[in-house]
Formats: sequence, C-alpha cells, structure tokens
Amino acid sequence: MWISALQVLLIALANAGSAEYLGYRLVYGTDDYQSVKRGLSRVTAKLESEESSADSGNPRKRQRRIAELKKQIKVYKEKATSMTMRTTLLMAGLQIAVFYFLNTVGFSGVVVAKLPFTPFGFVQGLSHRNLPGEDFTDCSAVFLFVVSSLFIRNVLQRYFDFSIRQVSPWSTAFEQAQETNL
Amino acid sequence: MSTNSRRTGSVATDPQISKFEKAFCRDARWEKTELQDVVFWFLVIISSILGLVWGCLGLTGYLGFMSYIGASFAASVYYYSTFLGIDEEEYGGKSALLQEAYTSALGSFLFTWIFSYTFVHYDLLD
Repeated sequence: MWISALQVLLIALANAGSAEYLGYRLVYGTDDYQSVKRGLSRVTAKLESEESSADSGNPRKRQRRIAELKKQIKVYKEKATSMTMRTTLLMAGLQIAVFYFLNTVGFSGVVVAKLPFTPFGFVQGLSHRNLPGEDFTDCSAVFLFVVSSLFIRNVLQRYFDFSIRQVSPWSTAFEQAQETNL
Repeated sequence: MSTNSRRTGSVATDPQISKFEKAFCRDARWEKTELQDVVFWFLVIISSILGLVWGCLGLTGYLGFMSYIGASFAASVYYYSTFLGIDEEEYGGKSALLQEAYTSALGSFLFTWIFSYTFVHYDLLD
C-alpha cells in the first residue's frame, strides 16, 4: 500500500512542479505578464491607500477615484486571465492525461491508502473509483492524487508567487452580497 | 529577540525587516497582503502538524474534522489577535484573513492526516 501511496505522491509532485514550470516559462515569466502584474499591484496599493485614508476632501471625488481604480483593477485582471488561458488549457490536458493514467493503466483497483473518515456520497465517487468492495474508507489513487495536488500546488504557488493572486470565490460572493445590500 | 524590543516595537516598525521576521514581532506594521501571506503559512504549518498528530493518534470521522476546524481556528485567531496584536477589522475582518488560507490549510490537513493514518495504523506491506 505505501509504495503505491508514495508513487501517487511523486506523480502529484511532478505534475504540480511541471505545471508551475510551464506556467512560468509560457506566461508568468514573460515581460507582458510582469508588466500587468506590476500595474495591478500599483493600482491595488493606490486603492488600498485611498480607501484607508481619512475622509478628507470632497467625498464624491473620492468615490469617483475609487470607482476608477476598481475599473482599472478589473481591466488588469481580465488581461491577466486572457494571458493565462493557453496554459490553463495545457494544464487541463495534462491533468486529464494523469487522471486517465491513474484510473486505467497505473492504479485501477489498487487501494493506495486508508481514509480516516467515510467521505460524503458525492465524494465517494472519486475516493472509491474503480475499487472493489463496499469499504468506503479505501482510498483510490485518483482521490489521493487530488488531495496531494491541492496541497502541493497551493504551497508551490504561494512560495514562488509567480501569478496574480486570485480572489477566492467566497470573498467575491461576499463582496457582491454587500454591494447588493447597499 | 529580546522582550524589550518586542515591547517598544523598535524591530517591528523597522521597514527593512521581512514579513517572516515580523511574524514573530508584536505590534508590527503590516501590509494586507503580507499579513495574508503570514497567516497562510501559519495555517498551513499548523494544519500539517495537526494532520500528522491526528493520524498518529488515530482520530477518525467527524470528530477528527470538527476538532481540526476548532483547533486551527482557535490557533490562527490567537496568533494574529493575541500574539501579533492585530485588529482584524483593519484588514477586512476574519473572512479576509482566513478564507483564502483555509482552502490550502484543509488540503494540507487532509494530506498529512491520510498519509500518517495509513502509515501508522496499517501494515506497510499490506
């Protein structure tokens, strides 16, 4: 069991490492992307100082400046998203290839780990994929790969800090809800 | 770092020191992104340690999840509000500081929990 688990861990490490490397070579290390990143951090810093500054001057003008800065941030983010589109597609292709390998050729029917919990119904489809028996604490290679990738990729992304940070969908929804209430 | 420098904040207010040095100083001046970074690494490290301990102790099921959420939340709030002396409202509240880090923290907890639980409680040659 442990050899299979370590193999899956190595695959996840290689996958996350190659994704970061390709991302850097194709997008994040390019001059265009770097200038967008610099522009975005400059405008974000301006917005933060504008929002945290004491209420001096005309509040209407201040509101207008904040709205303008928010619009600029949106434009920068859209530019960055369009630049990363190509690598996103490439990564998705790579991910599908790894999933196919884990599901069929490499680890079909192999229990790679024991889960210390019984997953929810819809997660069982992933955690018990292609496994025999009804013991839902048996863990498939695909599930271990997903969990390992979630951990490794997030840590690598934060450590290297190549890309522009994406706002979590939760906080976006929260902000939208607040704006709707206002 | 001496207790005196902590109290006076002389190191904490030095613009030359890095965010990871500031992570051990009380009453430092923080940029929002710096603080989010430090809280992120703090949560990831705490979650990895908790996962390792939970797996070795053999905690399972909802008890494992709930105790992790309680312990990690309490540790992170203690860290930034008591240890660092941060007023969370200045940085957008708990949600702004913790939301982003929790996805990664949960990943690191699951990762170490599953691996340590498997390695400690199941025959390695099985």
